[in-house]
Parts: sequence; structure tokens; C-alpha cells
Amino acid sequence: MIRHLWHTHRLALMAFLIALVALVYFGGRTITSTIYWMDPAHQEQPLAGWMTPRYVAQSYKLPREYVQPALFIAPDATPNRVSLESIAQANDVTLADLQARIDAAAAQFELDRDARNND
Amino acid sequence: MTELIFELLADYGVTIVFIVTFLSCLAIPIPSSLLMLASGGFAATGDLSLISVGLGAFGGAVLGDNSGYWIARKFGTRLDDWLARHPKRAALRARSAAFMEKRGGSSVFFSCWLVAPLGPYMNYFCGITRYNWLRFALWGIAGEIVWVSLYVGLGHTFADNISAIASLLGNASGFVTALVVVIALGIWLIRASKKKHAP
Repeated sequence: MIRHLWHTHRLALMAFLIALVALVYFGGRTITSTIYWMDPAHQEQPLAGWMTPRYVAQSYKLPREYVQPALFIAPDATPNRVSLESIAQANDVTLADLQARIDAAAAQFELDRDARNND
Repeated sequence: MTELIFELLADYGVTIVFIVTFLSCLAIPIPSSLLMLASGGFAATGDLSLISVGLGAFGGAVLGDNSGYWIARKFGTRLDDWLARHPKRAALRARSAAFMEKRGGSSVFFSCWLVAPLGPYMNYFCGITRYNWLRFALWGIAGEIVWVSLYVGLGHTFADNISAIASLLGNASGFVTALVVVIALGIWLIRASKKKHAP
């Protein structure tokens, strides 16, 4: 049957095979990405240039007081929608630097919270 | 380019959402679904207004769909005539028209969100074949409401980890689109092979 289709409806058959390959490809990736993101270690998504300070605060569950200094924002500044990329450029640092600062702030938040709980 | 567009979201907000959804409905390869996820996430954090994002995405999508339809309709008459001339192509064209008459509405509806990568081509196809514009527009509006609600809603719900939901959704929607094409072509090929065996 396939050889017959190859002679009569070659384009449709090729499209079908391509779609079949795509099916397996995307199916596999859906499974692997599910497994990846369900791992608790990965649920702290890395910072990306498009994120805003408020977004980082929500994603990392960090209060404003910890996020603002890490992102070079003054404590009394009005909440502004600005991308991390803009912040990095304005302060002449890289995204990796901001990631390190946020990670440090998150660690500090953990310490402070434990200290408060032990009082 | 994807990175740049996402960074523009923080700077220009709803305007970028509108432009990107508009262009993606014209088959320009631009990550509109992912952008809607991110904008839904920003709505959850208070960086953007949910209503503005929803309306902007919806407006861009509907405008894009109908622009594609009318561009194809105005400039597609030559293509349509070429199809009509040759008997084999004319038969294919007639079968497509019959299919659209019966199932055009649901095809347009699902092409907006379930198999969104095929959506822009559905717009062009409907324009070239001069599918009834009112039916196209109304089913398109319904489909885009689902598309925008789904992606902005998911972005809003999973705001804590947009990267995760974007990755999952991107792969899942690729899977669903491939599945629909495999099933549709599979059925068509089986029928085509049967026809030859029964003279």
C-alpha cells in the first residue's frame, strides 16, 4: 500500500511522514520537559532579561525589601515596570551578576526567617 | 529575536502584545503564544492590567485574522483561477469548498487555538476560496477568545514559573498540531489508497 501511495500521492505521504516525526519529537519533549520542571530543584526558574522586579519577587517568593537592593532599586522608589535587561545595562552588570545578587538575597531571607522563628 | 520581544514587553506592555499577536496571525514566525503567557504572568504580579492585556491580544488577533483573510481574498483570485483551470486541481478545490461548507466554522474555530500554527494559513485559505466572511469572522472571534483566555489565563495562573509553563505548553501544542495533521492525512491517505483498489 505504501509503495502504491508513493507513486500516486507522494506529497501527501511525505507530509504524513514529516508530521509523524514531529509527533514523536514533540511528544518526547513534552514528557522530558514535564519531568524536568516537576523536579523541585528546577522550580526556581533562572532570571531572564525580560523579567521585572515584581516578577522576580513573586517567582522567588522574596519580599520587596530583599529584592530592591539586589536589583539596585532605591527603597522608596515607586514600583516600576522595568526589565532586568534594562537594570543590568543601567548598572553596568550582567544578568549573571543579578542572579548572584538575587540568590544571595534569597539566602539572607532564609536566614532572617529562621532567626525570627527561633526567637 | 524571541529574547528581544520579551524584553520589549516590560518596556512597552500591551502595545507589544497587540503588535505581536497581529503579526503572528499573518503567519509571521513570532512567539505570540509565549508572549501572552508572559503578559498573563505580568498581570499576576501587577506589572500589567489583565483586562488591557486580554483586550490587546484579542484585538491584535482578530485584526490579524481578518487582514490575512482580506489580503488573500483580494490577491488570491489569480491563484483561485489557476486552481479552477486544471480538472484535477478543480476537483480538489471543489472538495475543499464542500468541506468548508460543512465544517468551515469549526475548522476556523479550532485553527485559532488548538492547532494555532495552522491558523494563519486557514485565514489565507478562507480568503482565497472566498469562504463566507461573516461566518469566518464570527467563528474566528470565538476561537480567538479561547486562545487569548487560555494563554493569558495560564500565564496568570502559573506566574510563579512562566519558563516552565512556556516550555510545557510549547511542546504540548506542537504535539497536538502534529497529531491533528497525522490523523487528518492518515484518514485521507487510507481513503486514497482504497479508491485505487476499487475501480
